[in-house]
Amino acid sequence: MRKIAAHLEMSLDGVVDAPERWAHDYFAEEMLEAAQAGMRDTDTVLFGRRTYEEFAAYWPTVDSGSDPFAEFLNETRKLVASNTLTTLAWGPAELVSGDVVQGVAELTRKPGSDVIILGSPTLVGSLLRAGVLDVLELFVVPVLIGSGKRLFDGPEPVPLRLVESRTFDNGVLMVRYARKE
Amino acid sequence: MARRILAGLFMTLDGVCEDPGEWSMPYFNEQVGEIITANMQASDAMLLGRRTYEEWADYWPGKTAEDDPFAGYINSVPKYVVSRMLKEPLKWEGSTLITDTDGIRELKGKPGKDIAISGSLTLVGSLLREGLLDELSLLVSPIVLGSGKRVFESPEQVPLQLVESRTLDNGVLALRYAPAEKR
Repeated sequence: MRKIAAHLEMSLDGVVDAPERWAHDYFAEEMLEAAQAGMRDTDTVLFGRRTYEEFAAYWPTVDSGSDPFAEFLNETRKLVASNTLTTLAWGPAELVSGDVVQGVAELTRKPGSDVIILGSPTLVGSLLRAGVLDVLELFVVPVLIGSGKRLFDGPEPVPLRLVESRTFDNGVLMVRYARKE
Repeated sequence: MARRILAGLFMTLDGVCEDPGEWSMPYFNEQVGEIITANMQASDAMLLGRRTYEEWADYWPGKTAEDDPFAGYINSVPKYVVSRMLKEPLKWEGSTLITDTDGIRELKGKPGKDIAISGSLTLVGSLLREGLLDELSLLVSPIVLGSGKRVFESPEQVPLQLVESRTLDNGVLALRYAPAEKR
């Protein structure tokens, strides 16, 4: 069955929104390589609306020829979970509307390679709550932000299982969690 | 050399530190016990925020090491309570009031071992903002909670540096952070 994985940047105190404001000092090539290694068997990138719109404003301007990650993002089929968007300017892309959790669960039953969710904390929260996320991968940036959207807003606790942890030279911690069976 | 202030906190993956009693219990293994014991042994004083002091002052006096190994430590360790609201004399034996950050700096300047903080999230936040916290030691449980007071709630950001990262057998992350070196 296809795996649904999510990759987010998170501050040490659990803030996941606007990483472009606080994570940029912590970028390192080895981090990008580690993230891309996790996307090797991926044929679909899934987004929540906000992250899709942010990425759509930036990635098409990056030269796919010289940036493999830009190539991956620009070329790969994108799915956008939204009940309000009607057009998707950054293709190839399709809408997933209606019950998003059900839509994603159905995805896993279709043939294909893995699905990666980038950013999209609202979507990730819903999937965590529903037990539909297979892998949660976080780059934990060594900074306390103090306010902002957090990784998860409940209402019930969701226990997880740590499967990997790795430290980069710049102090960023990569952690990977699976569902707790 | 100035004494260091070390905050040791239980935290969920989504940054919640409040009321670890329940949600951290399943993840309290021997290695966690060893880390907490080591932190206690490295300190000879404890700094508390008002709320934590009031809760603990209601609970711990009268408990002995037989009730809970932590009782022996917490009842005998010199406690320094940071508060502008409380008045001396403090009811919990061995407690001294500190009313401002100058008092905290003064405490750091006295001879002694490390000064430990547990709970006291508001105080930890102030110390982080003031640059008075020397180490943030976190035990991160593999669970997301969704609500509850976070390790840091503030309009200001504080950059840190990762000093040590350890994965415990039960999936808990034992992380140590210090304030980021000034560039």
